Amino acid sequence: MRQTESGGTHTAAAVFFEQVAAAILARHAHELPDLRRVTVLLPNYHVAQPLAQHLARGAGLPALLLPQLVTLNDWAQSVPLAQSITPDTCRATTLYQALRARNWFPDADLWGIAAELLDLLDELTRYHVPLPQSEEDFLAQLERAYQARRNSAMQFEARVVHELWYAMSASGELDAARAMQQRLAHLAQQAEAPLYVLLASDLARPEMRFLQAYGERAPVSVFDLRDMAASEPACAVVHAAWGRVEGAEDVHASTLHLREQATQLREHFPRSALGPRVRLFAAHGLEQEARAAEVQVRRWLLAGKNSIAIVAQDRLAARRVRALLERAQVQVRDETGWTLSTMAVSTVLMRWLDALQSDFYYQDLLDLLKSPYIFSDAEPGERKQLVYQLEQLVRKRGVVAHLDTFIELADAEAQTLNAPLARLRQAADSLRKKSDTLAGWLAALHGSLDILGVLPGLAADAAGEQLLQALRTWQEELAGDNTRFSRGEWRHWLALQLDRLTFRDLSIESPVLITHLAATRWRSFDAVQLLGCDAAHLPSADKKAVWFNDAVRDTLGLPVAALHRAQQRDDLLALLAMNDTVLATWQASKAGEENLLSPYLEMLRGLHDLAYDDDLAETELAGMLESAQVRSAPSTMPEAAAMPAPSAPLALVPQRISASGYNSLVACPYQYFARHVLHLNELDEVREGIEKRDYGEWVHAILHRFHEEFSLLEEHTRAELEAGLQRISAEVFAEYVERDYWARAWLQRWQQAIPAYLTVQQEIEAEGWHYAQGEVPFKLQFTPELQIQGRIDRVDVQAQVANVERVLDYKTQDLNKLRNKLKEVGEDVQLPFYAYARDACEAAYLSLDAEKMQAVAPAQEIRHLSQATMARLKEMFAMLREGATMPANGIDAVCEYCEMRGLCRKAEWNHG
Amino acid sequence: MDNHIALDPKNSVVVEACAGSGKTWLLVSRIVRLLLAGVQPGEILAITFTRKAAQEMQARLHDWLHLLASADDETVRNFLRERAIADVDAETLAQARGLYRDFLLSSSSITISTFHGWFMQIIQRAPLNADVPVGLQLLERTSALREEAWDAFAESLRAEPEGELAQQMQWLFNAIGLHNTRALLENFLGKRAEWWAYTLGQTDAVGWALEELRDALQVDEDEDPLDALLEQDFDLTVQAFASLLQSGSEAQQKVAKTLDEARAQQELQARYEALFNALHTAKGEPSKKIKANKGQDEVRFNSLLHGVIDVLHQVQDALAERAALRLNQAGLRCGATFLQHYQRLKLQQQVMDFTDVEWQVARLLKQSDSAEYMQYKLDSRYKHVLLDEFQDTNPLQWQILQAWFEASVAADERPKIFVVGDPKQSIYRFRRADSRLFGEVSEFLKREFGAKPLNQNVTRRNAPAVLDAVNGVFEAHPEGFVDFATHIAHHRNLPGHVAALPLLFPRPDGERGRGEGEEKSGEGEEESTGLVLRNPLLEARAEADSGARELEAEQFAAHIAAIVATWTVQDAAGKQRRASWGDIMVLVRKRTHLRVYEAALRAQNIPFLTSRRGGLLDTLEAEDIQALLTFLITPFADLQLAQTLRSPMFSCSDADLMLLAGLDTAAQQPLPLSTQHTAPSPQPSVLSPVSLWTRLQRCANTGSPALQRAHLLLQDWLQRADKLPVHDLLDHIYFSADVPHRYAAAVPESMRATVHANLQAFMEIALDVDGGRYPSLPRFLAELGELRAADNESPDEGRVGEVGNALRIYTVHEAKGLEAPIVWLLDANDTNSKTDSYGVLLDWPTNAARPAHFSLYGKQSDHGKQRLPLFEAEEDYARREGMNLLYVALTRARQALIVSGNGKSAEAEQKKNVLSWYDRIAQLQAAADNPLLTATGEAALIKAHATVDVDAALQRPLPTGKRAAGNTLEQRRGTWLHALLQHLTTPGVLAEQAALQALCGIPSAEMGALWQQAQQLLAQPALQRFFDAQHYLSAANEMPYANAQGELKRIDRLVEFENEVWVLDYKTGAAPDAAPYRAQMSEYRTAMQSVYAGKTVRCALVFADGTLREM
Ligand code: SF4
Repeated sequence: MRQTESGGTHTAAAVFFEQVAAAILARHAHELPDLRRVTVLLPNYHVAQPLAQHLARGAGLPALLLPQLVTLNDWAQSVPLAQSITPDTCRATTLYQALRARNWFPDADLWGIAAELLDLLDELTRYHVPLPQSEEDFLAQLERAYQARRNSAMQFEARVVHELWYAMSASGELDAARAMQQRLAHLAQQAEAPLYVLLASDLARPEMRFLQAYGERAPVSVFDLRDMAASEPACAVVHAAWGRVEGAEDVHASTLHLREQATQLREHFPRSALGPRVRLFAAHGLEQEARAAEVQVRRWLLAGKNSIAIVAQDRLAARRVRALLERAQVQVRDETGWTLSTMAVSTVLMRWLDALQSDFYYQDLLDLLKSPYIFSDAEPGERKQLVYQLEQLVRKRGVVAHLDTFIELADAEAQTLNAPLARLRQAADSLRKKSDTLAGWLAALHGSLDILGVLPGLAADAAGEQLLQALRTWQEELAGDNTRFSRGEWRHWLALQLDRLTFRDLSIESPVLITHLAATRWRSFDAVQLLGCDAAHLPSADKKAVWFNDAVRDTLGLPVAALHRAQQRDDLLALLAMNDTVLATWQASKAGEENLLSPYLEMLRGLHDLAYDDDLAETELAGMLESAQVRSAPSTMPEAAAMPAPSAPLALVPQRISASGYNSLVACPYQYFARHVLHLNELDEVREGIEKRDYGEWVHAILHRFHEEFSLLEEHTRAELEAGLQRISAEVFAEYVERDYWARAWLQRWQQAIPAYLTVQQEIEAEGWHYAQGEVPFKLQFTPELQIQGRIDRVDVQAQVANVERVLDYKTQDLNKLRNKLKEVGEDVQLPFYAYARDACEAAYLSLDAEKMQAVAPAQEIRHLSQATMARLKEMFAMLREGATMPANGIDAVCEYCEMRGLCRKAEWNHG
Repeated sequence: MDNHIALDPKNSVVVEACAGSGKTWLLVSRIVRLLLAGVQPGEILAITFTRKAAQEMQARLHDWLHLLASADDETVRNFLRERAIADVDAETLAQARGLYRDFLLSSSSITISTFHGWFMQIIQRAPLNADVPVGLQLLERTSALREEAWDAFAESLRAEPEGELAQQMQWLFNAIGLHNTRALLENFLGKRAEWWAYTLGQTDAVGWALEELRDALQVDEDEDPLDALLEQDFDLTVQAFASLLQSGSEAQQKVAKTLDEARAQQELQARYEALFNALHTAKGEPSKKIKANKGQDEVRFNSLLHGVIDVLHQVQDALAERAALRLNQAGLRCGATFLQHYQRLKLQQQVMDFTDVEWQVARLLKQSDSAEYMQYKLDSRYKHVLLDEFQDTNPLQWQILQAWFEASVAADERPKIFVVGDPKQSIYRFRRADSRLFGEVSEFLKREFGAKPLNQNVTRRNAPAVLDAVNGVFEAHPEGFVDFATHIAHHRNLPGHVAALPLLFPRPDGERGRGEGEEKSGEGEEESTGLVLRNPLLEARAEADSGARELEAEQFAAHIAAIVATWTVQDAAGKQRRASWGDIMVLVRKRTHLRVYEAALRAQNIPFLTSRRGGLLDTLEAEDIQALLTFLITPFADLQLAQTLRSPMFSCSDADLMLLAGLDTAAQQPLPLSTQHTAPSPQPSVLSPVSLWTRLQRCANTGSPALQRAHLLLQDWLQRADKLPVHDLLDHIYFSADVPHRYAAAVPESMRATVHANLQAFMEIALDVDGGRYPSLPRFLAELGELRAADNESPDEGRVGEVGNALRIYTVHEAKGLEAPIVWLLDANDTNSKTDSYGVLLDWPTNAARPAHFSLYGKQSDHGKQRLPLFEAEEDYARREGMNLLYVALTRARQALIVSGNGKSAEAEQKKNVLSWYDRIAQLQAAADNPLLTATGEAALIKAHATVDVDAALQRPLPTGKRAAGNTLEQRRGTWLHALLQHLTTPGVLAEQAALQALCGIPSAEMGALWQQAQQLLAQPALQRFFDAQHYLSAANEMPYANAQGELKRIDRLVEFENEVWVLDYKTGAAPDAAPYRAQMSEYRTAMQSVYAGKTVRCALVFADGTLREM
């Protein structure tokens, strides 16, 4: 047995166990040492050990044969049944079918409704709610309960519940709720031996009923912690603060005001017995709460406490605390567990189905393949290699979806991918059907997972194993069910199932555990950390049922929200009674908003403050949080960031440059350094929609083809030209229009520009410039060490004068942008660079904007500009080769769109 | 204002209260009064505009109730007196004291919520057959789904490229282009609630709406407006006018010629255009140049001219109406289909966005049947409804309230209604709020509920100096600000200061940085070597920042620094202290230019917080983390890796990166330092596709310490990234790389707090996302990408960080409900109010059930005449809202208000005809001195906990707990067999194999063998006496006992005979070696001997093969 929760060490808890032990021993003194005839009902098995110890200690015998220490549920389970129980999975399909047949909810998710309905039907069974035979009577009952006139919505509600209740109970099948009922009835009928019950809060009605029945045949004694605690000094203030809903004898609560209560308390108990036990810590935000809890837990550990419970009212905070504790190598046993649907083992399953549904949309596909559970029959490194290869391919080729496309691509460019893609294909085929039974779908899923090598991966993981087990169980349970479901319906079902499963990793043994409030009943720890004690989490909100409302549930005899709250209050009381070291934390502010403390604790604080001038605030922790951190092995701290200015070794100085490279060098030498010395580039992104740059590329292609075909416009009629350009445009666009509807819009945009383009081009010709070549590549040895290169959109020649050229560059930007580009001399080098390459005497941008189509040239004489530009290039490269530094001195306008901002780290330099 | 009336639970009340007048005080006081009057918490519904306000209200209420319960009698009496309870008798006192407990522990709880939250509560109670998804999820961020709908829409168009819809789309592309089409349809989608309301009950919604519009625009499609040109009168007038011009000046003759040419045009459209252009400027205004010369008959000239122009304008208008109708034909059809796609997607995913929720609530509540149902289905019956910030309510919300009231009147009794608001602070028109409602509603409430109207113009917030400015600006009732009454300061002695800093204009060209200057000198010299260009290696390009805005930003930052150095403010308790960064709230109208101002603050090392979430993800530190995570799932992402390496996480130098870049990967050696430019190899080997990560791995042992450290950590993270949830991974990263501390070391002091907060905030996003379904790191990053792209997704209140002392920057909208000692209104000279050029024109008269008009509009020139009144009303309203915004901005300031702005030039300022915010304040009489400028207060006490010396052990790891080694299969088999035996030997238990398998959780593969083993064992003749009930008196399985030390023990099987008692212990091992079990068995024996004193206790081991070995 683990050594946690040893009953002996806690004075707070010992009092209660002693009382219980003493009572049982006294009553059965004559039977000692054999108490096996006696049954004690426990809230949970953690209570067994301290109780046994106290019994043994009280008896003082060498051996004491213990009473049967059992939870009610387990006790009932031990009763054999004559009939087998219909699993809930089968009942859900039956109900689903019934709903589908009735077509009451045409567009709804029937699984959700079926689940809600099953819950209701089970509750009705469990709480022995008799539904009247006639629907009309039921409706009348509802009408009274709602205190409202009947209307169609109410009628509908009555009808759904009534009809399905009778439909489902007509089957004569035995469901779990009924089985439980039969078993309890059996236990009560067979009752002979005395029964003891440990309670911390009110029993639900079915259990009460059982105890009554049992009590008719054999003695039943209840140990109610609330009553037992009432006489404890430490609990007096709690009792006074909260009162008891039914406790009429509780005079404090009902008639006295806070101030009077405080006075009385002080009279009875001059010193607070609770104060030393309980502290409240108000945190600013999640992180501080988590840190406070974490530091406190470690302080307790250091103080030698070896059973510490973290009661997680707030799951997020608990998660954070756990991570922080793990930094200090404190491992935590988590009794609360995780919903399976939030775990990676479910992700692989669902992503596989996603991928199928989206026909292998690349993000789904890559995400799937990056799961560690897939292809687990291969080396992990190998799998990763494949994924990365595929991803690079996908990014390079911009493939958005379709398994066939991926397969073709792999065939052409990366054969190593053939095999894994083939597996995907095969697995996909095994799930390619329109409808099947749930068991059939599950079998197919299993088959596909097998093909994908997911099964061994899951089996090697505790949560995965549970998932597999669940899949198998469902498949077996549903084997006899013939209802057919579409793939979508099945998927919904599966998602719902995964939402309902909890995985608990119980393999960790630790003195620190995370648990639920309800699981702490009658347990005692060396210390308790109550996490998330704000009003929103304590009491936690009840799940709002879809059917009826509280008033109706109350009249029908179903449990109501108030009960849920009362239970938590009682659990909290029990926790305070059983434990003598408790820290409750909450976020007093959350993202700048105030956040209230739990009303129970607020009340307690208010009264305690009045009575003892102590608001229970924890005051030490806040100051230590900063220094009480565990840090990883020390490393040399970075220096304050400053503008980088690296100088490249000769070997890394580029030996060729393009116009855009030169532009980058001018805009910011560091940017150039990152791009062309380090050769860093942004990842290719798969482009799913059409972007402006696609448009630019297409238009470039169109104009190139057009001029190749119609080199001199004057030789053609305008109509011919327009028709020609239209045709070519349509041809170039055809592929994209086929793929993406919005390409049409871009095509139209271009078509609208066509007349303007022809006009401009005619004017250009009129000036004597004739189209010579398009897409003209060049590569020149500029200096012995530097080559210049590029591709010029277009070169025109003068018709009259030989060897006079002009370079043109098409731009889809508007005129103003282009003018701005050229405004500051020397800052945009593209035109002078091209002019130099062709020794052209003119150079211009041609804006292709339909509204204002026009050529823009630099203000300076281009040859001068070229000369200066290239002279500077020479000078700069000479400097670079001599080790000149490349400062990150881009202006803000450049930095804003610079992909290297994470490298130069401009945002962090100290400007002061 | 009379609190007696306002707070009396018996009254319904409408309070119009100015900014800072203590609306929360009033509202919460009213709640206290209600509780005191015995109203159950569950009978109270209070609705306010933000969650933050709701939380504040809750907190205030708790505080007060606590005070009532705990303070001395006199304090309580005073408290109640302040809230208009005149004589407080003992009973009232007792009652007041009891409220705290009753309220906290009551099972009926008060609803203090936003409309948002309350509607969600209601919709979850919708009738089952109301088409509201069961277990409905609220879709908070809609942009991703809208994008998806847009794609689905495109897909459907692609499938039928020649269909009717596609043709309409094509028309839109042609007419307004893709970009505007999208904007138009998105705007339509944004107004879907109005569209539904408008077309409610119509089977062919679009067709009906178009018919309505055709009537409204008075378009008769059978007539051609151009026919007017054919009328003989008209042609004669043109002719006459032309000949009149013919006799005039040269310019007139030219016009005459064009007119004559135009008349000759056969094609009517061309003729119309030619005539129009002849008489109008390029902008379409009638040309002023065409007027009678001296000597011409001016009367005749003008009458002819107008004769022509009037007809032309008629045609123009008629054409515009047609164009408008055409736009609607295409736009509404396409918009409605786009909307359908969006709705279908949501249905598929069983989600609703907030507009859906609002609409459904309205729809359901308007049906009396379901309205009643939802009333009683909700467990609370509200007898008191309190509405805060009522001016921000939209018509649909009001209708919902109204329907709710009606239903409760029908069901029960008339609730009491308490409305507080201020039409002057209505600034949420973009969320469809309509401040005109305030007036309508107060009339309605007066009429139907006998509500009493009250006014409050005393403010408790602003210093008199600030109020003077407020009064000065608004007393003249500018731009329809008619409901302003002079504000009065409650704190008359609060020192205050208002300043309008001089407007800043761009520096004249001469002062600019180089660039242009150089250019000039180049031009001047005219020599061949003329141009000297900047050498970027030596000289940075001058920021083109001599713009006015940059100057304003510099001035702003410098001034802020001065304020913190020399100003004194007064805290809530009335104490003077030095101003701190946190005392300053900076307001802007829009975020467009924030970057410039933030840069200036950064340059001065002033800590500040912007409140955008998108902003968080764009910060360098958050980008670093995203880069790292991206690298972890895409190890070939070189740039991301390089960024990670350069970030403070590793702070690798550029030299480190060059080392990697220079690695000759084939030889695993650095490249030789001499270059071979003689060799014609154009491809240096660094271009080989070897990833940066591979390179890093290769120099794992030879690189700099920084690189080595990076390699080790990254390798570890890559492995963990596979299995750890994102948050856990991130936490491990933060911890193992000491992330927060390293960032703190690298960034300037002033940025430390914000960087720290941002790193933390990022962690919390991860934590949040991890709770979601089917998480994975790639999905997380994709979602962050979406978040970043959808910048303005949720315009709800901004996040205020917990960072202690930093300047806060807000838009005026975000600042609603906030205040600060010092408020700076930035960029206040901007008068541009750009409105959407493609959108929805809507007329929803307050209190009408549905809009009276709904249509789409395009460019201004196509607005047409018929809708002009609506457009004008819109504009008036927008101007009025602009004033509201200014009012809100000014009233945020407790003590000081500073305004700054920039403009084009002093001359341009002279000429403009619209007053900017800046102008309105600047033209007020400025007070001479600034009482805050005293610098006597103590430096602000930054709340820092005194550093506590902690136990050094708290800084060290504390290895605790361990993962238990998993059981071997052998051990598990043992456990299973045990369990089987236990069940099989318990009398009365079902011995069915399948049932037992399930009960004991035995895998199918194992069951067969185990079952057989168990059966064999039980069938052993030698063991019969222990298992067959005929042979023994009693037997017990798994029998627990406690020994004298209180230790719990368990005996596998205890069998009692006449004279002896057997203790059996099952052993699964095959080798029957008994030795190791001796001690245990002897302990059993001693214990049992004490129980069965008169009998012999015998102990034995039973092995799986059936061997019995007595000890
Ligand atoms: S962000 Fe600016 S300074 Fe940094 S590399 Fe890019 S351009 Fe240069």
